[in-house]
Amino acid sequence: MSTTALAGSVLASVSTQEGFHAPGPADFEFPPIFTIGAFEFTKPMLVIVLGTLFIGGLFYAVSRNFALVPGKLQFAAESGYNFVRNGIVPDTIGREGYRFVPYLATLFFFLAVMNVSGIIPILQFPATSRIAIPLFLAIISWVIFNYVGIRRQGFGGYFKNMMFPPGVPKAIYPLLAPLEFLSTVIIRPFTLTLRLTMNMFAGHLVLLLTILGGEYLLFEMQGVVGFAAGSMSILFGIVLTFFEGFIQLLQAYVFTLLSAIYIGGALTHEH
Amino acid sequence: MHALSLVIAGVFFWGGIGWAIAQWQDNRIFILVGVLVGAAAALYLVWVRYGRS
Repeated sequence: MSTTALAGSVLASVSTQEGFHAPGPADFEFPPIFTIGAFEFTKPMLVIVLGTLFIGGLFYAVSRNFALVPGKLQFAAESGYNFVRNGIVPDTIGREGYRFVPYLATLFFFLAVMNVSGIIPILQFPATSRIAIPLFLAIISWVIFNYVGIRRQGFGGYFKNMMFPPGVPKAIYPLLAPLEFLSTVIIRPFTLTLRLTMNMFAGHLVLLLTILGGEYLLFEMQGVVGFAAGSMSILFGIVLTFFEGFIQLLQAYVFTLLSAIYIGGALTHEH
Repeated sequence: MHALSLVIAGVFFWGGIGWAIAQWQDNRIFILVGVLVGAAAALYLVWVRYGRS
């Protein structure tokens, strides 16, 4: 089990009589695997590169011989793609949303693979737990839905419809306008970023804690208490791994869904 | 969902205004006043838009 190797290496570096080295944000910093000049290639980068190659390779292999009656790989890839195209887009954007399907499908698959690499045995690091990736994906989604809204409704019209929605008593316009503007233009990318980052960060931290803690309890503490607590901790870690897998897929779905909803809202802003 | 983002926006916007007034008047009470006004205003806004049927 490679978590043993990971735990062993961590324990070897901190196995003192001082006690357990609790995992923290420092465990998200990695020593470089190799360096080229000032550029350090670290484990999160490795996860991203491998994930991208995997997705690209998968869809390339599927698209080379498109069969009318799909084989298993094509069926799996098509199911994933149809999940975005027929599941997310029609309900959120409607018929004109189909030109966003490439972006949303890429988003969904990329996020799903990046997230799930948190529980794949040797990689075991969700690249989306470093804030840069969710941040830039949120910025891309933000640019897209604002650009689409401005293109559709004109620059003034977009902000007018956003800040002064019809059907609201005019007296509260001064109250409503700055809040609506802030909520749509500033807060949306932040919540997109932080929701994904914090979920992945917390999940990875919890897995580290249960598994490393269980290992420490099993091997470093003497007595029955250590054995019982340690094995329970590791069992709990296994349960949490499955739960974490579910959360990872869910968060990828939520990010994609919210991006689609924001794009849909920008396209049709007549409430 | 949108209601929550309105509340967050209200707290930060009016809290920011309260902070600016506090810097101007050199009295930290205005930060609290701004945050409370923002929260109240945003909750009223949510009620107006989504609460009444």
